[in-house]
Parts: sequence; structure tokens; C-alpha cells
Amino acid sequence: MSEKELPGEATIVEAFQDGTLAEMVFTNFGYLSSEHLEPIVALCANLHNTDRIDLLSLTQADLLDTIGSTNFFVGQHFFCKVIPHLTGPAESLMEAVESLVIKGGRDFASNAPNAAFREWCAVDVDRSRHIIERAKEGHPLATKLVTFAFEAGRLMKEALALLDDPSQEVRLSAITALGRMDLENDEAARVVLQGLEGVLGGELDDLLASNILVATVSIVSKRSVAIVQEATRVVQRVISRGGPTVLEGCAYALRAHGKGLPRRVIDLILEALLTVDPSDDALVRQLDHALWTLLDSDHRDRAVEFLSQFLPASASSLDSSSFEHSGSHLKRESKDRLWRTLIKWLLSGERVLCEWTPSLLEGTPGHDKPQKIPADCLPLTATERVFLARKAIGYLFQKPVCCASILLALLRISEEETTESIAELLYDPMLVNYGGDLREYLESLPTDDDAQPAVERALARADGFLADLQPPDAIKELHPSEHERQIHLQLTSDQMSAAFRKVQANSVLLNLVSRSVVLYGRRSVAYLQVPGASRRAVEVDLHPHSVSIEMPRQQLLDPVGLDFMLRVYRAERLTR
Amino acid sequence: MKLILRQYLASLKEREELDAILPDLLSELGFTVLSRPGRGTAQAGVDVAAVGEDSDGERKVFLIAIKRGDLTRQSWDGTPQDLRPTLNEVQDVYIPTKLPSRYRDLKIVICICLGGDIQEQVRGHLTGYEEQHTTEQLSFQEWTGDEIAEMLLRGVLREQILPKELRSAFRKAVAMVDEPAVAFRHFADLSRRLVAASKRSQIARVRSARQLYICLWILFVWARDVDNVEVPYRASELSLLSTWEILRPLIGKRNKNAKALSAVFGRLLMLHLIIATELLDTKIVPHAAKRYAISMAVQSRSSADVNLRLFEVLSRIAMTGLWYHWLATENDGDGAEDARQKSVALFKAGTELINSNPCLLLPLCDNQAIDVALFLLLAAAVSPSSNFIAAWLGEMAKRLAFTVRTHGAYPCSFHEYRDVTSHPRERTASYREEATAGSILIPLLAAWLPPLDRIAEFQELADLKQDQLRHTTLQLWLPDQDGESSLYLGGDLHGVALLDLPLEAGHRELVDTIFEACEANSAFAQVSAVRTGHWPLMLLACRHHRYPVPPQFWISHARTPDSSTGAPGA
Repeated sequence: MSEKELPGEATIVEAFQDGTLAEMVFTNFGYLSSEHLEPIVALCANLHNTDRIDLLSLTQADLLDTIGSTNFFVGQHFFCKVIPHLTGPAESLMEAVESLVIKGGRDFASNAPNAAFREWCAVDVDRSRHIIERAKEGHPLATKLVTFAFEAGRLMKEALALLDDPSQEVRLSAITALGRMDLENDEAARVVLQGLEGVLGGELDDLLASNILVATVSIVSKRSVAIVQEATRVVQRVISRGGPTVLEGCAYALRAHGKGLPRRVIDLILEALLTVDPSDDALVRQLDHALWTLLDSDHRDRAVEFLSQFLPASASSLDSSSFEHSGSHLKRESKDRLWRTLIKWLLSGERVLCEWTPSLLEGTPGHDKPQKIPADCLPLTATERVFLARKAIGYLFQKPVCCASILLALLRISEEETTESIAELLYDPMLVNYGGDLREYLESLPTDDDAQPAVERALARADGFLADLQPPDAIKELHPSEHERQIHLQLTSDQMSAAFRKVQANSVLLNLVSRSVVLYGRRSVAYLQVPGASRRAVEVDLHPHSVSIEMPRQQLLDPVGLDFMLRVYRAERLTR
Repeated sequence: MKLILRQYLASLKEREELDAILPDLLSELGFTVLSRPGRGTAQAGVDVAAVGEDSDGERKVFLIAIKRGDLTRQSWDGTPQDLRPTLNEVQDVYIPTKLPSRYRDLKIVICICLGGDIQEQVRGHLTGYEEQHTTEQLSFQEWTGDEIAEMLLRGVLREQILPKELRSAFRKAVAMVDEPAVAFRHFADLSRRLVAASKRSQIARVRSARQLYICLWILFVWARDVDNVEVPYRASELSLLSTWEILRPLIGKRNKNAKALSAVFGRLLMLHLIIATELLDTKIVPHAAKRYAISMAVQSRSSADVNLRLFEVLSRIAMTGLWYHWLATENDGDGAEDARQKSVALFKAGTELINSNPCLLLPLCDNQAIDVALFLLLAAAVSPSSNFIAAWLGEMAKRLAFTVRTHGAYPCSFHEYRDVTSHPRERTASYREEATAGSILIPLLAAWLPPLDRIAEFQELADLKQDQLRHTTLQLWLPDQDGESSLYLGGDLHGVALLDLPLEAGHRELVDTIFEACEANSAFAQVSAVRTGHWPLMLLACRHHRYPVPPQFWISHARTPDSSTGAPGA
């Protein structure tokens, strides 16, 4: 359907009557731009409210089952727009909303009809009151959706009154609604917090306690510091109960409201989260999302501090891959900020933190280019400086330029004795293993650089080493046979293919777009049919793209020795 | 074929290299060789003297003066070593004073033997000289490269005794010297056929041995020309072993054929050492002390290649050193001292090689324990008090434990190159179990460590066996009664595997068990190479055909006063 051909009233009624309206809604309406969708929504709502069509009949489960997921969300979008404008019995509307939510399954957008229902309630406060009454009577759908009714009607007193309702579900809805409500002022917030704290005094399970915590955190995140004390007290009381559900609540609260929280509340929650069981994958995932929120706020350092404590304490059952989202946030930060974190982690010597270092640099712009390491984050004592240099080699050896940047930063601030030790490391293993980019970097240092004398000595030693490395003539007797070379080539090729396939399979981009494999030519041309126009040629010039890595010499000459050395550097700890 | 021989003759570098084949060549042509000179000891101008039939059917004395390469104006006359003074010396000194009296009635032919050709500018001088000195009793013959090649084809390499398929195998070996694996396959084929042909008679045995020797010389000279002596090195090992197998039935016999065979074996050993020297002294030893230099010279992108080649080099150094050590004990005087110094120098080169190439601190394949054992034997022979071996084995044990525990490049029991070069293919317990199914390296290390005061490293191995390698069958290998042919020629499985060595029970228990097994194994002493005192030959067989070095060779070094309960080992 083109936008020029929007259906009129008669078309819609006719479609409803002959049973094709569902198809129209689920295949066309949702694709319309908001400019064109709005009149259709108004027209359909009017037709429904005047009983000429029944839009809600299109949400019956057996009909929805016939619709594919893509088309379903197109239609769901239309219903979310139209529901707030509908009139009629609340029960029918609740059934329609429930049906749409269930069909949405586990998709992120599946709860969108609930928001539409909240808007519907907000049109008339009596609608909210009706839903609350029905919930008190035990109507299952009303009980389930009453949160939105409270929220829409901002019915704080009614919600507070239901905090001791015999139905657990109603109490939960009331608590959730209180957390979500836009309260008028700090005084109202204080009243709600008192109400919530009152619930803590009675009998309650972990789920209720967890919801009280989330509601409290939600309230405090939206109000001024005036209620911090009360909120802190509630949070503290909930946390002291303990339990995995409460910890889930803590993680959720931080994820949803972490940005606006006062430091005291954050500290309390993070302290509780330190007790999370590392083997609880789902909870660790939530924790990762929570930390992402904090990293994106003024509490960034607190999040880093938490990771620095939590990961090492997890007794090797976790690694950085469990905190993928937090990691992606750290990668986006400024290099200066990132390096402060990385230096701190390398100095901690904690394996799990140090192991995260290379992957945090991976994918950042110029990750193996010369780095500017902030001098004020470097350690003060000679022992710590050498320790840091060895840790950098242990973990960043595969990024020689980046690793050398740390060594140079240390050389610039070090005394003679430390300089010798670090310059030795710059020679062996760095220059002994790498030429190429590392050498270029070192040779390009300005003459007035404080690290220059030590670098010059290391380069001179490397020259001597390289001169000895090649015997004057080829020793043909040592060369592998052609057959052996072919086998090795084939093995390498198989490994590369396997790695390439794995990367392709995991690539988000490649899974979203279609691919064309060009076998011949230096550019491509394809013709696209534009609706209502002639075919258009799309030309693409092809350019070579390649990536190269330098293999450390010892990987070839003494792989066991190299592995051993790096493991020793990684395993070393400072005695404090 | 003639072209190959011609080129070979032209490429001979030393006069002695022509000496080396000429007597055998003449013997195969029916001559009786009266004298064969040693290095630099031509008797009054005569390098080889022989009696035989000339082309006119008359029996004559042939006095041969050998000059390498082409005859030029410079090498005709000037210094006492040039041809004209040599010919004068033969007539003035040799014939009147040194020719055995029983041949004085025979006519004499002075043969001018040249690896190359006679250049035109000197042709007139030579012809004039010959005409001037030719008499009824004395004549001259010129044996240039062409003639000698012809003689080889008429004699030792004639088609009746070196049939087409053998010539073909030999030609292919020569043609492929730059692709050692292929060339060696063809040479091994030739060797196998010659051994088979030798079984017809004692004369056939002598002939096969001589053919092998001459073919090896030709192969070596060709390979040297293309600067790659890998094939002749391997071929020389196989030739020595094959010749011993040919010679074995004649051990203890004192007839002409037994003596001839023994002489060929001796010359083959010298040729083997010449080839080994060409490889080691000129290519490896000068760079042995340079850090990573030999490793880099492998020119591969695979660390497995570097490891395999370096242990191979170490093994060759060890084996050559052991031969020189043996020669030193078998000879007297300057020769013995010279051989002793060479074995010491090779041990030193081996230590430098290990120090500068850390991949030698741990083998990638368990069967490289053979190479380790050979170097240990060299060390025990030439420098028994060296601390170097203790440090080397200690580091090896540490690296072994480290790599096994970290699923790194630990020694695997695979033999296929594909498996070895991709090892470790997986870092899983099940793969490691497969890759470490059996080991000869661990018992070897465990036996040697405590006597070298490396108790902690021994314990580390014992713990490793207990923790990670419970599935590994620790074993050694002993020869048995029936396998001697296979020992020299390779092929069929033979010998006895000594299993379930009690490492965890301590060094004393381990060594006592091995010692007891050695005592009970009478076959070792019966092996002809050991029985006749040619023990390096058995080690060479182990090296070449990849059999573990029998513990009889080293058990005495593994026994300390603490661990010893009886008489010292073999």
C-alpha cells in the first residue's frame, strides 16, 4: 500500500466485514509514517468506538497465531497507538493487551502494549479506579495490570492502602506502582518510603523485599537529597535480609536508576552485590548491565572499583567475558581514562583484571600504536615501576608498540637503576622479538625525549643481536622439505579458514546484511529497481584490505621459553 | 650415466678424493692393487700401483700418478708436486728402487690419472715427454675424466652388476640432491637392492659394498657442488649400516673377501666422517655459539621444524663425536689424539648449540630422547664431570613438567610430521592423554637426574607422572636375539619393550629395575657391532632408524652409590 492510497472509512469497514482487516493492520498500517498513521489510527478508533468495527477482535489468540513475528510487531505498533483512544469495557481491553503481550513473547518490545494500557487508564481516572476495584475483587487480569492503573492515575493513597492487601500480587503491584509514580514532592516521597518501610516490619518474602528496594531506589533517584536518609534506611533494611532475589533487585535497581542515585545508596547496593554468587550467570549478566549504567554516570570510578574488587574475589570462576557490556563501555572512554584504569589493574597484579587489559585495548582506535600514558598514574617506587613493566610485557606482549609505550613512560620518570632494568626489558624480550612497528616507533623518538638514551642503547644491542642471527650463507641441510612446507601451509590455511568461519558466524554485522562474493573484476555494478522509476545502477569500487601482525621471533625459536617467561611475568605479585 | 660420472670426476676437490675410489675401481676391473697411498704419502710419485691386463691382453704393472682437475701449463712443471717432476721421480726412483722384484719382468705403464682434461697448451709438452721416455719396457697412458668414467662403467658400475633399475635409482638420487627426502628414498632403494644382490656369494658381497661406496662418493660430490650434503649424510649412515649387514656373515673369517669387505667398511666410515665434517665443521659449528643463528637458519615459519631440525643437528654432532671418540680408543699416536680432540670439540659445539638455541631445552617428540641420549653418551665419554649436562637435563625436566601442566608444546608420542607440526592440536586432557600415551624420554631423564644432583627435578617428574601422566606407559627398549638385520636395515619391529618403569617408587627402584632388565638381556652383548667392539654402529642404527638407545649404553652413568645394588652397568 503506498501512502497515496490510504484506505478510507468504507474500505476499512468492508475489510472488517470480509475478514481482511487483520491482514491490512498487520501487514500495512505499522509501516506508515507517523504523519499517515495518525489519521488511520483516529479513523479506526472512531469506527471502533461507534461499533462499526471491533478492533479488539483482531487480537484474539487464535488469529494472532496465524501471523508471523515481523508482521506481528508491525500490527502491535498500530495497536499501541490506537488503544489509548478506544472506549468500551475495561475487561475487553485488558484481554486484548494481555493477548498482545503474550504473542510478543520474550522480545524487548513485547511489553509495549502495557504502556498503551497505562495511557488508556490516564485518559480517565475512573478507569484506574475501576481496574483497582476489579483487582481487589481478584480479577486476574486486573490484578496483573493494576500497577499501570495506579501509575496512570497517580493514586498514591490507594496504592499505599493496598500495601497490606492479602493478595501478594496486588501488594507487589502497589509497591511497583509507588516506585514508578511521579510523586508530587519530597513529603509525598517520605510518606511512601514510610509506607514501604512499614511493610518491611511485617511478614514478607524476598520478592516483596526486592520490589521494595527497587521502588525505594526509583523514588530516591527522582527526588532531592532530602529523603536520602529515609531511603538509605529502607535499602539497608532490605539488603540486611539478603537472598538472591534481593541481589537481583539490587542489580536491577542500579541498572534502571543508577545514574541519579546518591553515592551512599550506590555504595550500599554495590557492597551487597559483592556477595553475588559468580556461578549465577543470569545475575552476573544483570550486574554487568548495572555496571554499564554506572560507568555511564558520575559514578564511573565506583563501578571500576567494584570490578576491581569483585572479579579477583570470584576465585577464577569468572573472567572479563562475563562483563562484556561494562567492557564495551570502558573501551569507549577516552584513552587517558582507560589507561588510568589499566595501569591500576596491571599494578594490582590480579590475574583476571590484567587479562582484561589486552581485550580492552583491542578494537579501540590505534590499539597498537604509540600510546600516551598519563605520567601521574604511574607508580612511585622503583620496585613498582619494574613490576609494572614486567606486567605490561606479560599481558601486552602481543601489542609491542603499546607495551613499549608503557616502558617508555616508565623510563622517562625513572632513576638510573630502574632505567637499566626497564631498558633491559625493552631489549629483551621486546626488541629481541619484534622489529617492524616497534623499531620504527623507537627510532622515531625525538632526541630530547627523556627515554632516548636508554632506547638508543637498547636499539644498539638489538642491532648486534640481529647481526648474529643470520649465518652468512643459507644452510640448505636444515631447511624443511617441500613436502613438509606444503603440509605446514595446508595446516595454516585450514586454521585460518576455521578462524575466519568462526568470526563470520559471530559477526553481528554479517548476520544482518546480505553478502555478495565477487569472483572477478576490480569494481562491481548491480541494478536496483526503484518503484515507479527506471532501474538504477549501483557501482562499487573495490579496494584491497589487509591486516598484518608481527609474530614474535621466540614464538618460532623458543615457544616454550617465551610462554614460560610471559607466565612468570603474569604470575608475579608484589609483596606489600 | 657417463655424464654423471664425468661431472663427478670433474668436481673432485682433493687429489685424495680420486685416490679413494681408484683402488676399488681397479679391483673391480680385475687388477691386483699393490699399494694404495695414504694422505700425502705418494711413494716416489706413485699414488696407486696395480698389476693387471692391459687392453692388448698383456699383463703389465700400472703405476698411477693422480692429479686432480685439468692438466694446465701451471700444473705441468714448476714445483716438485707438478706432473713432470712426478713422472721423472717415478722413473728415477720408484721403478729402480721400489717396484717389487717379482714384477720386474713385466712391462710397466705409467698412468697419468686426471679428474679433468688435458688442456691444449700443455698437450704438446706431454706428448713430447711421453715420446721421449717411451721404451719397449715402459709406456704411458692418460686416464682423464672421460677414461675413468668409462672404466667405472666397464667395471664397478657395469650393467651386468648394476642393472638398469639400480642405475635408475642412483641417477634419480643424484638428480634430486636438492630435494633430500626424495633423493634419499631413491638411494635407500639402491642400497636395499645392493644388499639383496650381495647375498649370492662372498664376491658379490665385496662388489655390492664397493658399489655402495662409489655411489656414495659420487652422490656426495654432486651434493657438495650444490651446497647441500643432506642426502649424502643420510645415505652415508645407511651405507655404513648396510655394509655392516653385508659384512656380518664374514665376521671372524680371514679370507681375501673378508679383508676386502673390512677395508671397504673402513673407507666408508672415513667417507661418512668426511661428509659429517663437511656439514658440521663448515656449516654448523662456526655459528653454534651465536644466539638463535642455527634456529633461524632452518628458515621455516613452524617452530616444530626448528625443534626437529635442531635436535637432528645435535644428534649428528653427538654421533660424529662418538665415532671420533671410538677412533681415539682404537688408534694410537697422533691419529688417536687428533680424533680425541675432534670429539671434545664436537661436544663443546653441542653445548654451545644448546646454549644458543633454547628450543634444544625440550624435545617436541618423545622419540627425540634418542638424540638426547646420544649427546649424553658423548658427554659421558669426553667430559664426564661437566656441569653442563646437569643444568641441561634439569631445565629439560622443568620445561617438560611446565608444558604438560599448561598444555603447551610438551613432547608428544606422534611420529607423523602432520601430527607433530600441529601439536598441541588441542589443549584438552583427552588430547594430552592421546599425545602422551608412551614415553622413553621421561625414564631417560629420571634415570640421569639424581646422579647429577638434580633431586628436585627428579621429584618433579615423579609428581608429574602421578598427577598428570598416570596413563603414560614409561618404557625403554632392549634388542632381542632375532632382530639384528632389522637393527641395521630398519623395517620390521624387533626388540623388547621394557614397560611399567617404577618412577614413582624412587630413583633407586627405577634404576635397579632397568639394571636388572639389562642383566637379563643377553641379546645386547651378542649384537655383532657390540661383540666386535664397533659399538658406535649400534648407536648409529638407533639414530638412523629411530630405535631408543638401549639402556646398556648408559645405565652405569645413572647408578649412584645410593642407587647401586650390584655391579656397574654394561
